[in-house]
Amino acid sequence: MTDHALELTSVTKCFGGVRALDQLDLVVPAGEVYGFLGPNGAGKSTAMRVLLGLLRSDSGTARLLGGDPWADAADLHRRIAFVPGDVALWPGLTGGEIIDVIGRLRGGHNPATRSALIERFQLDPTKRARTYSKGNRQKVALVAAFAADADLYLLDEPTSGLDPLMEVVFQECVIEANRRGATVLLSSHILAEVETLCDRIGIIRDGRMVRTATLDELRHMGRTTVSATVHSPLNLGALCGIHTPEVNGDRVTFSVDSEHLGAALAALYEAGVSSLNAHPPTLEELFLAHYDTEVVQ
Amino acid sequence: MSRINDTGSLGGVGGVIAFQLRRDRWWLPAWVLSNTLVTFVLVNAVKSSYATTEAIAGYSSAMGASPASRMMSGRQAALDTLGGITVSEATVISVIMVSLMALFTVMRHTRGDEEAGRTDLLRSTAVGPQAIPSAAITVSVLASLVTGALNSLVFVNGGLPLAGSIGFGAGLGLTGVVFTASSAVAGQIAASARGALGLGGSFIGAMFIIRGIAAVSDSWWGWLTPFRVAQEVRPFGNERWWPLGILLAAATVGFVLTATLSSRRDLGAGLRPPRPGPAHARGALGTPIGLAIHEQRGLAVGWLAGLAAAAALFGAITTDITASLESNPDLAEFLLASSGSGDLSDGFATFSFQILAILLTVFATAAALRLRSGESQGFAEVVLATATSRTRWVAATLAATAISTVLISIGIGLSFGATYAAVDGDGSHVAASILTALSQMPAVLVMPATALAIWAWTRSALGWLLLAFAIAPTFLGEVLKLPEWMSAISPFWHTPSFPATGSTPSIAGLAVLAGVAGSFGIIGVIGINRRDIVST
Repeated sequence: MTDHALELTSVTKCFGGVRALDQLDLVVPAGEVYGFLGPNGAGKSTAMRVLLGLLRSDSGTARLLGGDPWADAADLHRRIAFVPGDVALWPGLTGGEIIDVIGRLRGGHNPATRSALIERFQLDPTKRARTYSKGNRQKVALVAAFAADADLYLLDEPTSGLDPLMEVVFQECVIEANRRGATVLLSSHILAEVETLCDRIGIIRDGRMVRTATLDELRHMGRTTVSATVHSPLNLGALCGIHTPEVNGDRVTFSVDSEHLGAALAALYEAGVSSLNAHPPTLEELFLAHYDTEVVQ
Repeated sequence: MSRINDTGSLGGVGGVIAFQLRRDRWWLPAWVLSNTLVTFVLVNAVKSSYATTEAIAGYSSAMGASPASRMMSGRQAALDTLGGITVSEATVISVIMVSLMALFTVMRHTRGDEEAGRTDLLRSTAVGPQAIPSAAITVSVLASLVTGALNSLVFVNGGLPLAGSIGFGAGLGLTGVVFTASSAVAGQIAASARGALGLGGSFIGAMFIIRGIAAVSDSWWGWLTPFRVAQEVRPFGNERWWPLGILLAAATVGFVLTATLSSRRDLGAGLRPPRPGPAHARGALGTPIGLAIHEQRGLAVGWLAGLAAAAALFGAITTDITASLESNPDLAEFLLASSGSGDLSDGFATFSFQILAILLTVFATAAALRLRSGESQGFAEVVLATATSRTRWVAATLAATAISTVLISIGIGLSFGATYAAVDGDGSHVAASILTALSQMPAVLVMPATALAIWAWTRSALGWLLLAFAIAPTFLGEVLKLPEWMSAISPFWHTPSFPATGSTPSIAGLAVLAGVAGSFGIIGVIGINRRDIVST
């Protein structure tokens, strides 16, 4: 087995004339929680389905836990748990039955873990799937996934419809699974969740990976937002790497590239600063920058 | 309890009708126009084929001699006129289409939308609780009546007398109205959208079978069905109009019942509130075959009930068929020819088992194609994301289909044999019936396996169309004078006669059919391993 839990190399997948994946590269090292971000329709779900062997890529190679996701699908799936974004449940079965069905089809699960998870997610396992709300359907899929002692969790927008309390439970489950040594590929739009959980993120757009980095690296590449109250006027124009400067009386606001942050702070000190507020780029800001334009920088 | 004329509960009905018509702007015209088009083709075909009095006389004797035609078209009046022949030919397809149109239209706007969550959106606006079912009924009634009117126009356009043309169209339209009412009631009773569709569809099927059996055996029960009542208008043969009043009265009862029931149930639920179920799955459910059986269990139980009932009816009249057919030597001769023992009753039993085998094939095809709905609804994705291989997934459904089909077949044989034996006093009929039913299995399983293979390679439901082509020779073979080899392509041509022992069904023939079914199953497994799984 390689040290990568999964690896897509130059994978292309077309549906009719539409290129859902366009030479996508995705590498997730074993034992990491990887945040898979991108706008709707960017190809996240298609990539997940290629990894699950539901779709066959047109070109490129896909490896998963050391195997071929298409040819060895059934064997690999004993070690994988999957949560789809739009959970389809058999309407006539109860949540508890569905959890058992999925567990047994995968090769068995631990009854103690199962009941603990049902407790934690506050799921009523005796209700028919037909009568579950969106959030409860999601819980059924999450309990079924985390009841499995899997090596790899493929989670495709797993928390859509969950309330904030359940969101916390979900994050605990991911952290516990990761502590056990499991790898997690998490596609999500909830940035706070990604910020809390992920070691590394990849941003996909139009079927291509436009940026992969650790969260720290990404932060470093972004701009710090600074707002301050100064005693004497500050000549922002003389400084390098300043963006969107705004002066309003004695208040100045600007954002600054990280390599020029020191110089900007020195200038503020010179001008006699009486209050200062600076924050690193939020994931949301980084994210919007990548979503809006092709590639920043 | 709200009444149907209560403006509060009906609030916004006009807007809802407009909205439903807008959603159906392609769908309903497709139903109505294709129905009209089929009638148009048949009117002209009959006109050119039956230009002489000899041809017309030939038709009435051929029709009288074919139990399959009677099963499908009922007892048509005025078969010695061009109009009567046209009705007899046109009625099967147009009446089935108008009934199904009513069923699907009502279901998609009521329970279908409720389960998809679209009704909630509508109901959150200023729309009363009765407005949606009432609008769906209105739309379906309108579509049925327009279908009837267009059919009448096509008849008149073909140069047929006005009164008969109106009689046929009115009966057709009101048949659609009656099934609009029955479907609306079914939509109030069943616990789920799929259950409602099954219930409404079974009712139409049961009515059709009862009308058919009654027509073959010259019985009064046909009057219990809208199909027969509409025919009793006797278009082109001294028309009488009061049977239309019966249809209207029946529909009205259904509409009132719908309004009463709908005020008693919650949105999205049946009459009984959903009850909690088991918190753990039974052992068998966690296997691919267990899951496949679960997915087709409701379907199988419904079909078992329906087909066992039809078989019991057939069985009950088999003994006395000799007396019923005294006045119809042509039909008697036809049945005698297909008998396994040279006995008229056995000939009728052979015919009965042929019809039942075809109906059973419709079930088996629906059961096999549960894979298709499972794929598009996303269940396939859930199953295939586990350690279940595609081969096991498909093989499980094939096995479940074969098991349920065999069980229903035993039910058919048992219930036919039981009523036949009860009337006849000959207990040996039970074993003979079960054996006959089981010896049809290879022929029955060919079409489902084919439909499955087509889906596995192409994701399409074209297997249904192929099934229609396979069924056609049984009903139209004699009328169309198809060459024998053409009829022999259909698996149903190879079903054994009753009693199977008397006619010694060729073991080799059965083995070939079983081989064909098995091969298509294998082709399906190969296909599903080669393509993408796509949910919509």
